[in-house]
Amino acid sequence: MLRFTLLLFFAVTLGGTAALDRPLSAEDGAGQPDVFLVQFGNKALAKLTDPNISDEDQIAHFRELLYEGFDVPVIAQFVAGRYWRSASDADRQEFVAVFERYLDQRFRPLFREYRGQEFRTTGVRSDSGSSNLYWVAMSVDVGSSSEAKLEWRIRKDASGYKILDVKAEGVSMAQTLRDEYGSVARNQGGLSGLSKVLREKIEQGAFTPDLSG
Amino acid sequence: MAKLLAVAAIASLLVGCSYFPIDTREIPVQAAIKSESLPQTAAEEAPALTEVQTAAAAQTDASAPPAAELSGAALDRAFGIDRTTQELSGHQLAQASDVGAADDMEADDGDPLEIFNRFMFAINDTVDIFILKPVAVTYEFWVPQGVRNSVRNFLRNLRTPVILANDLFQGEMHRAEATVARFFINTTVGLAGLFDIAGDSGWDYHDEDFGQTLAVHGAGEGFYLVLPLIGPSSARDGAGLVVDHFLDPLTYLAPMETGIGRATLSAVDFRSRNLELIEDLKRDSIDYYARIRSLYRQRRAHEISNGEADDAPVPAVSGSGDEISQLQQ
Repeated sequence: MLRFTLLLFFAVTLGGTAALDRPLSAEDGAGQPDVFLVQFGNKALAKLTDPNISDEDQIAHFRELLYEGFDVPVIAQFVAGRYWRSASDADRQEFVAVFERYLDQRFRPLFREYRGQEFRTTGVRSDSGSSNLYWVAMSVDVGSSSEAKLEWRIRKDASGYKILDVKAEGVSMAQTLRDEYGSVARNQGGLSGLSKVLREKIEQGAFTPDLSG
Repeated sequence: MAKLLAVAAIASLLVGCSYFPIDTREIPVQAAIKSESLPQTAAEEAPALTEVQTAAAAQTDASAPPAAELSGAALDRAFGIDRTTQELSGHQLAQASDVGAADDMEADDGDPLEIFNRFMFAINDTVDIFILKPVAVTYEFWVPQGVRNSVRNFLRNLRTPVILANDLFQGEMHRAEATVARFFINTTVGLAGLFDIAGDSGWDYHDEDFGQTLAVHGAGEGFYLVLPLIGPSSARDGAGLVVDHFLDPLTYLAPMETGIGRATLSAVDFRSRNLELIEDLKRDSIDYYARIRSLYRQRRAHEISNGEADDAPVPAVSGSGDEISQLQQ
């Protein structure tokens, strides 16, 4: 399930022929987070799937898109869990940087194999407790007349919409990482220990997806 | 008693498999993605990418935007985490009552038996590596997809009494109706359950177990528990397995060997459908045990709510006005 979630976390946003069904709710006037999601996916598709792009350019584009579409600092804070609060500013910044490298190693190679999947947003609901938080439901055609259902957690701030999380079949990517990272941080003496473990794995290329299968 | 324990242990593999947070519907996704030819294999590409990434990392480390910090409660709110629905010890509840202290409840991960569980997890993983996985690979290689689908359909059909009982215990009449319809259609037209004719007609398969029934009626998860051969479970779900065993007519009608065979076949079928996914899961993890624990819990919550929790409005947060306004800015 996790790889499924991870793959779709980015791959889905790169749908080649994204179709947009209007949302179920009356959020249209409020902001249209579903439109943001589809437009962001198309933009990422255009920038990152060019077969002639160099690795250096792809890395630069990926990072630019990452911060444009995802609230990376807040996601990093969330997945760090309780260890964030007890960490020093230096440890926090180090973790955010390492976490960004993890995202790069884990997801960017997926664009090399991406061939396009059709997806459509199927509804938007705003959070009952906060008017700037949304869940955007998405259906993805995955072949063999099957479809996967995802939900994107999106927050609107002064700079626009930002993706916080994605759920597939009830499994949240952010929550999964938070639980796993929390366990490692506990055993490694805090956030700096977690960063160290992540950095070592990144340097081994451990998160690079196996695309040979 | 020995017979009961043996059957319960192996038969519960069937249920244990359904607990695992990997759905066979994922297989087409991965197959579709992987079926495309690649410009380079990962092995060829990885060294070059690693070098580039390392070079870029220096720049990244220096230029990473400063973290925009949120308080604990606001962060939970942002990610739709409703701590009030999770099971807390008295100590954790006391902590959670303080705004911004919600994540403190993760202190023990709800896993007081972690040392035992990690030990059992390692044993199960060893069994998987040396027995289950090789058998599953062989099964997948030699048995055609259509036959494997019929095996799964047959096994699912056999499980109908347990599912139906739990549908009724939970007051889910529509799902009970679907279970009955599936059983009669697939047992007759579907040739003793070998073909899922009902599924093709809109009566989709669903699973239920007594652990879910207990949860629906308010029972907490209890402590996390890794069972021998079965894998991830909990105090509640482990007790549910025993009840399900006694709810199953085959327990009384068939010899023990039948139950063992059914459970073994179910485990092999499940494993064969998730070979690559499980490998990816292992390779990706920095703490495989913790990741499986998280996936199990999330997946169980999803199953207990029949997926409806995902569609429900996120409950209002009970944090302070400052924290909410901070998040809403």
